[in-house]
Amino acid sequence: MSVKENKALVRQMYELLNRRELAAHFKLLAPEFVEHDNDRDMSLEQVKEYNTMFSAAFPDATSTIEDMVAEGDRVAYRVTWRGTQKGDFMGIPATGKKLEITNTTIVKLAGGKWSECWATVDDLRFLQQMGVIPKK
Amino acid sequence: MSIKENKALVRRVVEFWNQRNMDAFFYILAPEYVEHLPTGDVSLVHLKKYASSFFTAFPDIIITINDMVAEGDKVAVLVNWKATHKGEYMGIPATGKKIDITVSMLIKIAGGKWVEFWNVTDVRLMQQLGVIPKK
Repeated sequence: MSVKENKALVRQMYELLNRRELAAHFKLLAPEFVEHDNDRDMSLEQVKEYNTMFSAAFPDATSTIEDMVAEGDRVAYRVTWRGTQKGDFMGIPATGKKLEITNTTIVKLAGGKWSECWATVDDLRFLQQMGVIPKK
Repeated sequence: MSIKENKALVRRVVEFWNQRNMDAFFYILAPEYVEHLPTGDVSLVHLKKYASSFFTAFPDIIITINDMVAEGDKVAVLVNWKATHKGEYMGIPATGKKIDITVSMLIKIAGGKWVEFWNVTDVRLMQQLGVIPKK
């Protein structure tokens, strides 16, 4: 796959997410897909479960790709995520709070699918905006 | 500059950080250099003041490059920080705690200088410093 195709695959993933087409979104993940997060690795099954729960908690969430850098089989991108907490999230009942954070991910692509990704998520800002920890 | 040269420039800056060679680091920054941090933008003038306090807070910090992706005038970098918290950092007095975290950076390069920088720091920094609870 070319760098251009890889970038298109990243864009497509977020378009599907923004349209809540979760089934189509999951189809772009390879069976062996692993997401390396700040503090844990998630398998395809865990990602499916988490993203489904997340989508229910933040039903209006949208992601905007701010920048992409692609080389070989990888794409690095910055993405801004905005959403309102309208459902239960990790034991916290709906707060109606509006959240906005910018994250960075490097994704590895193979055969038209996402095979692995490394995400640096701004959980600090997320937790502050959720009101779980104080803002400074 | 080629992506190979841009990556080499990122490697050189990380070496300068590890050697605490701030003058060499500042020399690589363009006058219009801006860091876009989650907490707001930082200018070169501000960075010059702030940088030394960072290395006072984490005097033994070792920064290791885990991955680089480059295209055009940009380089995305994943680094690891290993350090001991020995001085005040963002209002947090020295805790003596060890940190081991990931930081992602995106750097825009022009004419052999860094012109723009975006970063996201792993929330584990604040967890490991004991400021917020672990999940």
